[in-house]
Amino acid sequence: MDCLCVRRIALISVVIWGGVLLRAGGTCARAQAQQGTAAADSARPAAASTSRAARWRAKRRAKVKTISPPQPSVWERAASAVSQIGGAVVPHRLILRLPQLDISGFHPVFGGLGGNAGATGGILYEPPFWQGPRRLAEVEGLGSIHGYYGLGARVGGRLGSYVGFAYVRYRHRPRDAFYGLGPNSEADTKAGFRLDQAVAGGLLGRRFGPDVLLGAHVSYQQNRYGPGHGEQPDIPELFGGGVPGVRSNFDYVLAGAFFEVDSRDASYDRTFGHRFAPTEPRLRGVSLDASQGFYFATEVTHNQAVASPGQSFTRWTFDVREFLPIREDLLHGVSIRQFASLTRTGGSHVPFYRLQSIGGDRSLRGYASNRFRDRNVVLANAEVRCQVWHWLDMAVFGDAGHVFQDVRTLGQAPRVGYGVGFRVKNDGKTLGRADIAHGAEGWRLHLDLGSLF
Amino acid sequence: MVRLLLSCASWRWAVGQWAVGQWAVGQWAVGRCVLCVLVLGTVPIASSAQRFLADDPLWEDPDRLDMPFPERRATNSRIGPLEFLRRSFAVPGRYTTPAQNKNTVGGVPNSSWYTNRHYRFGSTRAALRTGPNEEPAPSLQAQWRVTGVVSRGDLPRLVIRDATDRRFQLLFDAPAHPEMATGAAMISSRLLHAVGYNVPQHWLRRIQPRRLAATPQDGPDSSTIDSVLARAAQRSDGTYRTLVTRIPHVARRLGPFRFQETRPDDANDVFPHQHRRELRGLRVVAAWIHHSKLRPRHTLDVGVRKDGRRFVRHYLRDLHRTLGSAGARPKSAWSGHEHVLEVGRVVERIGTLGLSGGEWADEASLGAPAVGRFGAESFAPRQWRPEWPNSAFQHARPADAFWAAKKICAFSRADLQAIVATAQYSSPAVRRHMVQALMDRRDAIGTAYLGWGGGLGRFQVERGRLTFADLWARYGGAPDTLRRTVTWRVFDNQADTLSPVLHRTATAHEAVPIVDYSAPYVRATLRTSTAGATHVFLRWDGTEGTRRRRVVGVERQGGKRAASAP
Repeated sequence: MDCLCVRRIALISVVIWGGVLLRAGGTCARAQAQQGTAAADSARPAAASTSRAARWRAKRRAKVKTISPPQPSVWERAASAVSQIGGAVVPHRLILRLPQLDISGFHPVFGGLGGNAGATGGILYEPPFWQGPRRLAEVEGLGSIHGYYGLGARVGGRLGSYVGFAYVRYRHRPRDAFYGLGPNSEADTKAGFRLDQAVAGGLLGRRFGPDVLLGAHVSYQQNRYGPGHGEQPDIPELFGGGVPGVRSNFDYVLAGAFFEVDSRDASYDRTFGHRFAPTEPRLRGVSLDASQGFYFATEVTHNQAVASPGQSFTRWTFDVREFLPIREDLLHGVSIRQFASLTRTGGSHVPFYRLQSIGGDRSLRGYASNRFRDRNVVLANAEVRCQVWHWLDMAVFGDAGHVFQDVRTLGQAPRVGYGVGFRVKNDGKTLGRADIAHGAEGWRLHLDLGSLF
Repeated sequence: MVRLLLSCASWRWAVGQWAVGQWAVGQWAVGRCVLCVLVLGTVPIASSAQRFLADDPLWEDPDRLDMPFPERRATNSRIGPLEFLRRSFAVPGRYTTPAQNKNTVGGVPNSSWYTNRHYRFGSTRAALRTGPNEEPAPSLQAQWRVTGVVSRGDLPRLVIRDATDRRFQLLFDAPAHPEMATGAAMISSRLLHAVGYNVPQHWLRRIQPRRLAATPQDGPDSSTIDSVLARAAQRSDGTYRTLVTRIPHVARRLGPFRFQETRPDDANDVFPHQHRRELRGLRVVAAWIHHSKLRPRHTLDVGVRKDGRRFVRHYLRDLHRTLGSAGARPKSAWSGHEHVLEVGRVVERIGTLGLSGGEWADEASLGAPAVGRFGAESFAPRQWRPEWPNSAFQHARPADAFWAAKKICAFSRADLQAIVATAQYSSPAVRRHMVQALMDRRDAIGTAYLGWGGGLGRFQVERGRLTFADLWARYGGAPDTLRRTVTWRVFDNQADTLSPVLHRTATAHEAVPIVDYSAPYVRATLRTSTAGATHVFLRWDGTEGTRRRRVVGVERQGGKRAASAP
C-alpha cells in the first residue's frame, strides 16, 4: 500500500512538473507566434482581462496618453489655400476670385491678348454696385511677356428685351506677323509689325425670344502702324512699300448691323452681345461647350475712313454652325462651322491689318496665326467629339480655308489641316484646350484657356 | 495547483473525459501519465488565449468614454495626390485583413458609429417612417429666423432658428428637378438609419416665403433670402418644398471623418476606419442607395455631451446626393460605374473615339425630374463603385459584404413602401419606381453577396434546437444550401482546439437539434456544397438550474462562389 502511495505520489509529481515545464515552453512559443498580435494590442494589462469590453476600453485608455492634434500635411495646407480661390474661365481668359480681393471687385486675370502675346496677366475690376444678370461693368489692364499690353472698359445693361453696351479698348501689339497677301504667300517670308489700335463705341440690340438678337453698333477706330519689335524684318523691307496701310495710318468710323439666331446649348452668358462689338474678333472659332443646336449670324459693317475716304470698305460676314449629337451621354457629336467674310471696296485698298485673316487656333489650326490674309475668306471646320473622361473631351477635326481677292480665284484649292484636340471640361464648360494640328507647313500645337465662342 | 485542477475540470471532452475518468478510478499507468503530461502541457493559463470571453458576443462597444474633444478638421480636407493614385490603381482583393471591430458572431456592436436596428430587432413601420427623428420638428409657432446662408454645394440652403431657438438647416430643390434632392434625402436617411448608421434628423416641410424672417443684425437680409429662394423650385401654389435637417445634441462640430486610419486626437477612436466593418459594409449599402458621391466631406464628426461624458459621434450627411440625385442635377451616367480616374477606360475611349468604353451611356432612365438617374436595370453590386475611391470600401472582404447584404435584405416591400412614402412624391409613378428600384437592387445585392459563407444568419437557440435563417435561399439563391451537412465537435476555448467529429447529420430544415454534451463549448459546422460553411459556437450560459446553450460565435468560410473581394 505504501509502495503504491509512493508510486502514485511520484507519478503525480511527474505529471505536475512535466506539465508545468511543457506549459512554460508552450507559452514561449505562443508568445513568439502571437508577437504581432500582442504588439497591436497596446494595452498589455488588458490582455489578461476576461472581458472583451474591458480589453477594448483599455485600448482607449492607452491611446489617451498619446493623443495629439493632427498636423495638416503640406498637401492639405496647399489644397486648403487653393480651395479658397474661386475662378471663372471665359474665352481666352482665366479670372481668379481671391477672397481677399473679391469684396473690392478686383480680380487677377490671365490671358486675353491673343496672337503672339505669350503669357499674359493683369487686373480686372468689376464694380460690385453694377453687377448682376442685368448689369455689366468692368475695367481691365493686361500685359504680356512679349511686350503686348492693353486697356479696356465695358459697361452695359439690359432693359426688357433691349440690351445696351458701351466699350472702349486700346491694344499695343508690337510683334504681330505678316506673311504677305493672298493664298500663295510663303511661310518663310515673315515680317513683323507693330499696331496700336484704339476703339470706342456703343451697341444696341433687341432680343426676339431667347434665341434671336437683332442690333446695330457705331464705333470709332484709330490705327497706328509701326515697325515690329524683335528680329523679324519690317514689311517694306520684305514686301516693298506697296502693301496697303504701311505708308500711312487710317482711322475709321464703323457702323454695322447684325442678326443672330442661337439655339445652342452652350452655357455661357450671351446677354449683352459683346461678340458683335468691333473690339471682338469676327472669326471666333467653333464653340467647344455646345453639344447640340444651331447658330447663324450675319453682319454688315461699313468702315468709313476718316481722313481718306478712298480707303473705306464694307464687309459682310456669315457664320453658320451646326452641332449634331450622336450619343447623348458621351456627348458624341459632330460640330460643323461654315464662315465667309466678303469685303466690298469699290476699288480702294484696305489696310493689310484690317484684312480678314485665317490661320491659328480659331480657324486653320495647322497653320500659324494670321497666316493668310486677303479681302475675302471662306472657311469650313468639322469636328467629331467624344467624352473620353469625365473632365476631358477629345475631338478629331479637319479644317479647310481659302483667302481670295475676288471670286475669280475662288476655285483654287483651299488650305487644309487636320488634327486631334483635347479639352478640359468641368460642368459642361471648357476650362482649357490643347489642339495638335497638321497642315502643309508642319505640325502646330495650340494651347488656350476657355471655350471658343 | 488550483489552476491545474480547474484546467482539468474544463478539459475537452474527447481526451479530457477519458483522462479525468481514468484519474478518478485510479487506473494509473505510465503511458497514461505521459498522455496527461502532454495534455497539461498544452493548457494555457492566461485568458488572453481564449477565443471567447465572458461577455462575448459583445454588443456594446465602450467607445463613448469621456474624452477631450478633438480639434476641428476642415470640411474640404483632401487626401494627397499620391494617396489618390494609390487608391485609384488599387488591385481588387489585395487587402485581406479582416474587420477588427466585429464581435464573435460577426456583428458590429453598438458604438458611436453604428447602432443595430432593423435587422436585429425588426423596426415597426412607424419607426421606419420616423427614422432618425428623435426631437420635435421645427416649431411653427413663430417665423423662422434666417441666421445664415450655406454656400457649400450647388443647392440653395439656409440656416434658421425656430421659436425654441434650435438651429436647423434648410435645403431646397433645384427648379429643374423639384422633389429630387429632398426626396432622395428623406428616403436615404430612413434607410441608413434603419440599417444602423448615424444620420441627421430629416423633416420635409412646405413653407411660404413669409415663414422666413431676415435677421439683418447678425444674418442675411431679405434680398439675400430672396436671391436664395430664386434658385429654388417653387410650387404652383407659391410654397417651397424644403428639407429640414438637424443633428441632435451637438456640443461641437468637428469636421468630416476619413475612411482610413483613426483620428489621432480622439482616444475613443482605436480601430482603423478601413478595418471597421460598418464602414467596409457601407460600400454595399452605398451601392444600394447609389451613394456614389460619398466622400469624407459628406460625413461629419460631432462632439456630444451625454451623461457627463464627452465623446465623438460619427454621421453620414448630405444625403440629398443619393439615389438619382447629384444635388441640383441628376447623377452622371458614369457615376457608380467608374472611379473618377480609370486610365484603362480613358485609353479605350481615346483609341475608339468613344465607340467603346462607355457602356453605361446606353442606360435608360425613367426620365422623371424627381427621380434623376436611378434604377436597377444595369445594377451590378460587385461592379458598382463610388466616384472617389474609398479606402474602407477597398478593404471590404466577403464577410463585410455579407454582413451588409443581410441587413439590406431584411427590408420588405412594405418596409420600403413606408420609407418611400416619407419622400411625399407628387407622382405615384415616381413612388412606384423608387420602391421597385430599391427592391430590385436589394435582390441583386442578396444574390451577389449572400451566397458566401454558407448563406445563413440569425442563429439562436430555441427549445434545444439551433435555429437559423437560410438567407441565400430566401433571396434568390440556388436551393443547394438546403442540402447541408451538420457536424458537431467539442470546442476547447482555452486551447482553441477541436475534438474529432462527434456527430454528423444532414438536414434541409432551418433548425437542428443540439447534441447533448456537457462540455462548456460545442461547435456546429453547417456545410453546403457550393456556398461554403458556417461554424457556430455554443456555450453553456447561466447558473446551475437555468443553464442554457447560447450562440457565442459564428464564423463563415467562403464557398466556391463569392470568394473574391466584393
